Amino acid sequence: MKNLLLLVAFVSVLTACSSSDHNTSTSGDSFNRTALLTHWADNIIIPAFSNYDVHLAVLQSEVENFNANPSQENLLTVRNSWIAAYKAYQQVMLFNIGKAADLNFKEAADTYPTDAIGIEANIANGNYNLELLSQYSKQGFPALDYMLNGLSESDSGIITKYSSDANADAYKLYLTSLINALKSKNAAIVSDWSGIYRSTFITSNGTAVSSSTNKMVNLFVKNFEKDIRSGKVGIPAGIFSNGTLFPEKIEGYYKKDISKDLLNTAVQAQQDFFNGKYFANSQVGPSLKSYLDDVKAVRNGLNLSAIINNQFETIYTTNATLNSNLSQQILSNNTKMLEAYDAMQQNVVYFKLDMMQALNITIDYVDGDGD
Amino acid sequence: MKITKYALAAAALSLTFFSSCSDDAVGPYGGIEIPNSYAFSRNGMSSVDYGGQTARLKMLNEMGEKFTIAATNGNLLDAGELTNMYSNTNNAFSSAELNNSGKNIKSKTASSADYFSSFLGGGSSTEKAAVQAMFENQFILGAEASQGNPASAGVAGSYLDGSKMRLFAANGLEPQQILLKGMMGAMMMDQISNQYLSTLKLDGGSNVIENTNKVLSADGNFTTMEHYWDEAYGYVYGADNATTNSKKFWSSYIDQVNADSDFNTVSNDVDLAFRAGRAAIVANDYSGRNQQIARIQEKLALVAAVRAVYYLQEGKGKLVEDNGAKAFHALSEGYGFIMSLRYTRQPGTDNPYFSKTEVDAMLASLISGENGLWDIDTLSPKLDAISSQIAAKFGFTVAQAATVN
Repeated sequence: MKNLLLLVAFVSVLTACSSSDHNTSTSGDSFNRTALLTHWADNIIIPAFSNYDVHLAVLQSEVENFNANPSQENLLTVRNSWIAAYKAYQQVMLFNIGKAADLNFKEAADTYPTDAIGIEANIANGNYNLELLSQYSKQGFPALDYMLNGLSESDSGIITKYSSDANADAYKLYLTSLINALKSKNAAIVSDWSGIYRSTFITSNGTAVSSSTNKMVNLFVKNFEKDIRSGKVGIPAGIFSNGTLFPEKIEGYYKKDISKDLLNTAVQAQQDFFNGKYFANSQVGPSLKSYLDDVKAVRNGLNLSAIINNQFETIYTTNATLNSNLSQQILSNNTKMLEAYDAMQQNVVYFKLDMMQALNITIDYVDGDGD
Repeated sequence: MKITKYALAAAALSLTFFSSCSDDAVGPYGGIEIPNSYAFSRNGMSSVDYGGQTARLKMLNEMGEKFTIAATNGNLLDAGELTNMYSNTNNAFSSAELNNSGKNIKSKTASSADYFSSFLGGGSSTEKAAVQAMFENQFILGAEASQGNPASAGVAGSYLDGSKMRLFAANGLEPQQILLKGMMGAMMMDQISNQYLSTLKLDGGSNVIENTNKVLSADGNFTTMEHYWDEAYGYVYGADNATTNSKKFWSSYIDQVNADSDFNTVSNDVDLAFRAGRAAIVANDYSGRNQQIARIQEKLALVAAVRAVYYLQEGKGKLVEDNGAKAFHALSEGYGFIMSLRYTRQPGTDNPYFSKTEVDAMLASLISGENGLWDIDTLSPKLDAISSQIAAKFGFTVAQAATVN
């Protein structure tokens, strides 16, 4: 506590010498990190992975049905299961910790744009090992997107690939391999959380760089910045390519009309986690929001947590103006994409500059931007 | 103001930490003498590096020359070539040095960390994209003006200004000057004041503790903080040639403003602040460094303001010649310097001296007449109003800026 007062003294002296008006002020940290981690594990993370697992199981059985009978009806069914599982994935992508990180589950599940040529090569030669790093761009939900929506311009053309095509069996096998790979990785994650990892996660309740809270906060910020803001919007909209647009780099490129939906699902998961909402219902528990309120994090006289939640609302409002097919949006009016990016970037600023400082957590990843 | 744990620790260790925040006289820092020129070394080798900035200033200079050559020779200006130069694609420059530099100026246009990533100063990605598109449009306007027509009201073309041939867009603005002066703001001023002299940037990551302990960057004989400071310096002086005593961009305009007795300390002010700030970084005196940041931000903004007023007034005096066309070069320079005000930084704040909205209003006013600048009968009061608005903000008079004496 003495140290803390010293810190506050230094802050005020330094502040006197600089008169920036975006100070985040805080006071005291006696927040119960054990309760926070317990709530995260039991009421958010584990239920989210279990929900994802259920959706993968449904997708697995629909793939089996489709392979047994590649009909138009079964194609539509398996597509819908794929969309539902893809959305469930958006709700766990944030939890890239423990076994999930060890298994590179995110890279294997959602590397896009997918490598269609590589997928076709895999199918043609039948000799592939989806466990290899080099295969991440040929599997996961984007590969399923290609297999269920992109093999041909028409549904009948897609069905042909799985029925009368000379390579039909190889296409069926690849489809099965893709869902099996997703399922087996998640089974390992679920089993780890229900085993030893839950207590490992909760016991790491300190303030070290390697503590669970610090790691989760970093994942929270990084996921929002890199995977949601940049991946889903910034990169395809040309933010990082001097204005060169990449409409083909959106999520769900072959399905075409789910990219905005996936974006909003991911943003909602991010906000729900921030507010400590239970995965299964609308109750809330200890959270980044209550943590920030506990240390009285304020920005320009307003509660930082309220500012962040207001910004989430701005993000939804801005996203609502977008075409459900973000590819189409980029081609028709990319400025709207930039506005969506900016709305998210503003929360990145609040997270990285204000929240991290208020919680006294150091960023453990860097953006290279020197020259 | 953002303070990392490391910055606090370093600051706490710093002897000058509790020194006053007023403008102390610049003295030696912690036994580090301020050198007479911007020369710093470590282990017998220079620790200064701003090669990337030099490359970018050369790129912009070469682009400007394309306009001059097309105008002088009566040739078509190639907009596609300029677009390639702007993003450094397809080996568009005359030298391999620039083509292979890995640098380009488009990505540094309205791209500072503070204004265009952290969205201080009212910035956004949409603004950034619009500014870049505006510059790319100048290439097209320049190409349209190079078709061989004489410039006249509402018609893009060329105009013989004394012995110099110039290209005017249909509204009388000179695309070359919009590019050159505009980039002095959107690239150089922005990168200096809101990127490399930003405390968020300088103190980012573990820069403070690394600089305090002199942990060198993997990229060279410097700490990251030293290098950031050098990069700011390079955007002012990076294209100067001591041998031929030629100066470019801000370095040149600082001297031109300094030639006026009303502002005759500004060259030394900026140069000394860069040297003193760099010495302060070497001596781990971060509050001393921050004082120099404030000086540089303030003086550079002043140079932009004085020069904007100077050119508006020069243009005003030439409106009577050639249906006003004689004034358009100066007015275009003034327009460009006004553009640069949007990228200034008021020391100790998150904001420019004039907001984007205010700057846009001034620019719109300048070309608000029918056919833009050609509407010379309504121009003088607008020039005076904008001049007064700028001068008042910076505390000089229009008369002081208008005449270099």
